[in-house]
Amino acid sequence: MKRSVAAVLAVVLAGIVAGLVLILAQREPRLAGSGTVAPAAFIGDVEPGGTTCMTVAAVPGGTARMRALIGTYGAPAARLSAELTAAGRVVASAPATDHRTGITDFVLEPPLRRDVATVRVCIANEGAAKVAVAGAPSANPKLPGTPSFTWYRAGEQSGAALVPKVAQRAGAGRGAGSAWLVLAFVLLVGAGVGALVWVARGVRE
Amino acid sequence: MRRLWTTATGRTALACGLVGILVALAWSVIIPPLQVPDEPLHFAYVQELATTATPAGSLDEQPLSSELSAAMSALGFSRTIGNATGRGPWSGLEAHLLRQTVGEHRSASDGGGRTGVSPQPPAYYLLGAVPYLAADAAGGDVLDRLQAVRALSALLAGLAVFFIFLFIAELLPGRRVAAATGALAVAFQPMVGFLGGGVSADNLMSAAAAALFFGLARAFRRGLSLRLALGIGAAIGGGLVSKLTFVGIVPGAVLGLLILIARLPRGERLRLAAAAAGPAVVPLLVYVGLGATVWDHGLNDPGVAARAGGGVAAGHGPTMSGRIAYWLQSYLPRPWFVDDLIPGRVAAYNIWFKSWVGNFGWLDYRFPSWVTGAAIGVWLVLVALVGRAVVVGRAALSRRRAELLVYAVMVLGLTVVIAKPAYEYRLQTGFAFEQLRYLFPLLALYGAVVALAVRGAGRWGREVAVAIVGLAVAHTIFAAVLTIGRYYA
Repeated sequence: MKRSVAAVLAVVLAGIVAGLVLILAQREPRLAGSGTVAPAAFIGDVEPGGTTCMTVAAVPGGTARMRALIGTYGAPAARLSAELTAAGRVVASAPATDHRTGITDFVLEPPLRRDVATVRVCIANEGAAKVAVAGAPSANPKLPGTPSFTWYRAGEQSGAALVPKVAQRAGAGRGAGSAWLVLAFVLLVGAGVGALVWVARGVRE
Repeated sequence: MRRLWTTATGRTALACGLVGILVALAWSVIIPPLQVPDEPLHFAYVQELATTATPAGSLDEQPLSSELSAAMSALGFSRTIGNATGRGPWSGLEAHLLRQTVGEHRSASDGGGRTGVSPQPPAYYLLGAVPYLAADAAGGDVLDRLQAVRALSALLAGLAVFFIFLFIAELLPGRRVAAATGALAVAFQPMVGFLGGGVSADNLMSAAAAALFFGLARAFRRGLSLRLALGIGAAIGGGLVSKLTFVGIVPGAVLGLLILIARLPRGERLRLAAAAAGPAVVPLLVYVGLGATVWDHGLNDPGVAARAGGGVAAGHGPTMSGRIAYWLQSYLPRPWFVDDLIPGRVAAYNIWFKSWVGNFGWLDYRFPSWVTGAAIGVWLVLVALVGRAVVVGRAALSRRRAELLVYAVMVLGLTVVIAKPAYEYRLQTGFAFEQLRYLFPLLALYGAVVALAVRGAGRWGREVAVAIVGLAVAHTIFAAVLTIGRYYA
C-alpha cells in the first residue's frame, strides 16, 4: 500500500474512532423511559389552586425527574408541585417550587426504583396566576388533550455508562435478546473497515 | 453467471453487493420495528398477500390486521413517531407486555384495506410473502416475520449496489477502484442503508432501476445483443410492477432502446425490439389482467384518497403553470419569474440535500446542522473533481452524448413524476411530500458521479477513493449511532 494511501486510511479510521470516543464520553441527562406525547401545543390551563391530572400506563424505574413544558403567561415563574400516585398511595412527589416558563423539571422524591404501572400524575398550581401545560391536543375539541411528560434519570450519565442499558432496551423493543444490536453494530463497523482497507489496497482480491 | 466468478469485474461486483447486503442487514436490526416511513403499511400489504393471496386495497376491510395493530400498540408506535422523547418498550413491564401480545393468537388476515401504499403494484409484496411465510412456518411471531421481510429488502439493496458497480464499470471502464468507490458510496449512504433495512417497495424499484442503468450502459458500449435486450426489458418490466414512480425513468429507457435499435443492422431490429418489449410489458399485463379479473386491484386504485374524499381546496386547484413552477423550484434555485410555491430560496437544498445528509425514522430525527455544513464542503470538493474529470474527458464524453442524453431524459422523467403529486399534496396540506428515497432509482448516477470524482483526482485517485469511502463509512456509522441514541438512549 502506498504511504499516502495508508496515511489517508489512518486519518479516516482515527477520525471515526475519535468521534465514537467523544460520543461515548459525552455526559448529559438521560431518559429513564418513553415520554407520553410530543408537546405539540398548550392544551389547557391550570388555574391558581387548581390541579391537572392524567393517568399514564407506566412510569419507568430509575425516574428521578419529570419534565414538562409550561407557560406562565408572562409571569417570571409559576409555583407548582407534582404528585404521582399508584394503587391509592403516593409513589413520588415534587414539593412546590418556582418553575420558569418553558421546559421545566420536577425533581421527584423518592426516585422510582422500579417500573410502576397505572400511575396518576397530578400537577398542582400553588401560585397566584394561571399556568398553561403543553401536550397533544385532542382530536375532539370537547375532550382535554394529553399532557406531555418525560421521565429522566438522576444527574447525567456518559454514553459509555449507557451501553449495557442500550443493548438491553434494543432487545426489549423487539422482543428479542440484547446481543442483536451489538452484533449489528459490529457488523456495520466491520463492513465499513473491511471495505475501506479493500479500497486502500486497490480493490485487489 | 459463470463470468461473475471468473472475471475480476464480476468478483468485485459481487463483493460490493455483499457489502451492500451486510450494511442493510445491520440497519435492519438497528432500526426498531416499523420505524421506517410507511413500514406498517408496506408490511400490511405483504401480510395480506401472504395470508389471503390478494393485494391490499379492499374498501370493506380495515387497513391493518388485528395482529399488526396489537403489535404496534405494544411497541408504543404512536407515542414514538414524531415525538423526540418517545421510545418503544424499554422497561421489563412493557417488554413483557410486548412478548405477551405478539405471542397471543390474533388474526393476521383481517387487514388488507386501503392505505397510502395499497395502490402500488404487488411485485415487492409478492417477493416479501416468501420470507414472511418461511418465518411463519418456522413458528416466528409477527416481529420475526417483519425481520424476515426486512432481510429481503437488504438483499435487494445489495442487488442494487451490485448493478451500480457494473453500471459504473461500463460507463467509466478502466479503473475498478473508481467503480468500487461509486458503488460503496451508495452502499454506505446512510439513507440507502436505512431504507434497505426496512420493509419498503422502494428497495425493489431501486434494484430494478440499477439493473436498467447497467443494461443500457453495457448496450451503449458493446451494442445491443439479444441477452441485453431481454435484460433491459426485464428490468423495465420488474420496475414497473414494483412501484408506480418507476414509470418516470421509462421514457428515457425507451429512448435509449430506440437509439440502440437504430444502430443495429435492419434485419436485427425487429427481433431485438420484440425481445426488449416482451419482458417489459408482460409483467404489467399480467398485473393489470389479474387486477381486473381476480384481484379487483389495478393501476387506477385510488388508495386512501377514495376513503378520505381527497381533493384540493376550492380555488387552489393545480394549474399547468403551477406544476411547471413547482417542478422547477423543487430541483433548482427558484427563478425570479416563478411563483414562490415552496419556502426557501433554494428549496432543493432543504428538500433533497438535507435529506441526503440524513432524515431518519418517520422523518423525525436528523444530524445536528453543522454536519450539513460540513457536507456542503465535501460536495464542493467532489464537484471540483468531477469538473476536472469532465474537462479532461470531454472528447470521450462528446462521443457518448446519445447515451448521456438518455440518462438526462431518465432524470427529467423521474423528477416530473415526483413533482406532480408533490405539488398537489402541498396545495392540499401545505406540507412537503418529497422524500429522498423517491430519487433512489437514480442511485446509479449518484455512484457514477462519485466515481467520476475519483477519476478527476488523477494520480491521487486512490487517496481520494479512500477518503470518499471513509467519509461514507463514517457517515453511516454515525447515522447508526444517532439512530441508537434516538430509540434506545
